[in-house]
Amino acid sequence: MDKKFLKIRVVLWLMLAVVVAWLGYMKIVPTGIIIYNYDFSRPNYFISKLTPAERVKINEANNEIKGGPVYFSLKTPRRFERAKVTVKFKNTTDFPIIEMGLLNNKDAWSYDLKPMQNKIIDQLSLAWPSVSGENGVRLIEREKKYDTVEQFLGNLPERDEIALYNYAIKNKFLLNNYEASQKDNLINYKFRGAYQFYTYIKEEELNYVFNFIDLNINTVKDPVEIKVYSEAGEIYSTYLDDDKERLNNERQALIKIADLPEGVYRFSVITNDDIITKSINSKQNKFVLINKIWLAEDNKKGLTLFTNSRLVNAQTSNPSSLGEIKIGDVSLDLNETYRQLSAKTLSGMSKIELPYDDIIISGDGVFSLDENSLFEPRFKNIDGNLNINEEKINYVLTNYQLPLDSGDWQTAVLEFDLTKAYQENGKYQFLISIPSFKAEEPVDGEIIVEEIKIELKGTSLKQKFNKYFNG
Amino acid sequence: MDNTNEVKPGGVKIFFNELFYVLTGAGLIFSCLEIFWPGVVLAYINLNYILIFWLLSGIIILF
Repeated sequence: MDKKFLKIRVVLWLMLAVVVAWLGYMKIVPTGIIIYNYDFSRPNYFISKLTPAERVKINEANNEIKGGPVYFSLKTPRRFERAKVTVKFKNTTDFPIIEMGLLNNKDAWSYDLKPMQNKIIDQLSLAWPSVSGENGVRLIEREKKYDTVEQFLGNLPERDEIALYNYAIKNKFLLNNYEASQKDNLINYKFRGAYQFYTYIKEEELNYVFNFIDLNINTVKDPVEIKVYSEAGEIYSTYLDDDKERLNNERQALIKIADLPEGVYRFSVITNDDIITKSINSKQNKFVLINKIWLAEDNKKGLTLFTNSRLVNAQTSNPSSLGEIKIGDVSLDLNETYRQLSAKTLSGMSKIELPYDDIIISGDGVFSLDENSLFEPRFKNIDGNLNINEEKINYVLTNYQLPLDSGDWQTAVLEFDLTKAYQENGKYQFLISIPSFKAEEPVDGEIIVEEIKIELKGTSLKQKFNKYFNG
Repeated sequence: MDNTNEVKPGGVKIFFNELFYVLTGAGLIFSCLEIFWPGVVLAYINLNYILIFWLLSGIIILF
């Protein structure tokens, strides 16, 4: 064969070999670091477009968010440990808070939320003196009193004076005048799906018995996982698998833990909407549901709840549950299914009167079934509903970093832990949350996302080899 | 004396001939990669273009 033709053949096959090698490199990512960039000008294989379509207006070079929350997914070629997300956005609306979350649990729909923007803290930082501590922690004080964050943490003022945002203080919450119950308490309400609650113990055994019913409406398996957390972290978990033949619809979980110190304990019941908690028996007399309560169908009539939430939302998918809900002094006419209505309450405790069951009630606080058991172990959180002056907040402690400004545009950098994230078909699910921003309500200003850049970090090929050969 | 007029293919035709083989190989390799590692090729290369160039090079070498 002619040498010239041989050269053409070698060059062409060599080019193919280079392309295949490059594809292998991009799949394996031997360095353990890769960056994907989505500027909305053309589709990106790794970062999906923002959804749902009715909450997003697609412009030529960006996406305008018309209502929250919106979602996007990230497809990765292999497993990574950390994701650094850089978002370029503009917010000219009055909605003060934008957060991004990574889905950690699909059944409980729990997201690891990180702040993109908090205008309340941005404004407070300009008006009040602030001091920075380790790892980007900032203390913003109404009047200068503490020189360091450590000094503040070592000598905390009254709980009511402190508000937190994206920060957790490790401070033991104790109830004054608490006495252990001598009798069994039956929580004779039916709850649907996943929920979380706080309970309290003092010189007593942590004792809960849960009775579940499986509705078997959907075809997937309906396991139930219960996790118990102390203020230090997870202390117990149990898993109830679905029965294979789906003949026995009832399941029971018994949780008894002795010798626990006095304090607050959080239960997380992780399951899907096919599971109803028929009843809960407990030795404890404090029981408050966190942020959400879904009283299932066939509960008793004339349901009453108590909450410290400043904003209470109500929604139902059941036409027979439509009616008027009383939240404190406000009446909400729930006259449409699948539409969330909201009511602002006065600070302190509010009473919620529900005409029917099967209504999802959510809020920024806790919900109790009787007036006396309401307690809030968490510090106040800086959200759109907190009035700093009315609630006499003097100290704000936060890990939130101001987004970088460039004209109208801001750039937020957020770090996510991918090892705890939920992954389906190689995809991670993200959300952009803008509390109280509803697509069906008119709004002044706009929220635009122009660019999403994700830097993934994981184990490099060299580290994998070292681990494999050196143990 | 040999009276047959052997027509030697031109350089362009030979190039397309070689390109056809390489594109055939590329199509097979990329398809196999997609079967074992879904998305590894489609994330960067549109296989439709490979198919179009393969067809065009095939048509060209027939003439």
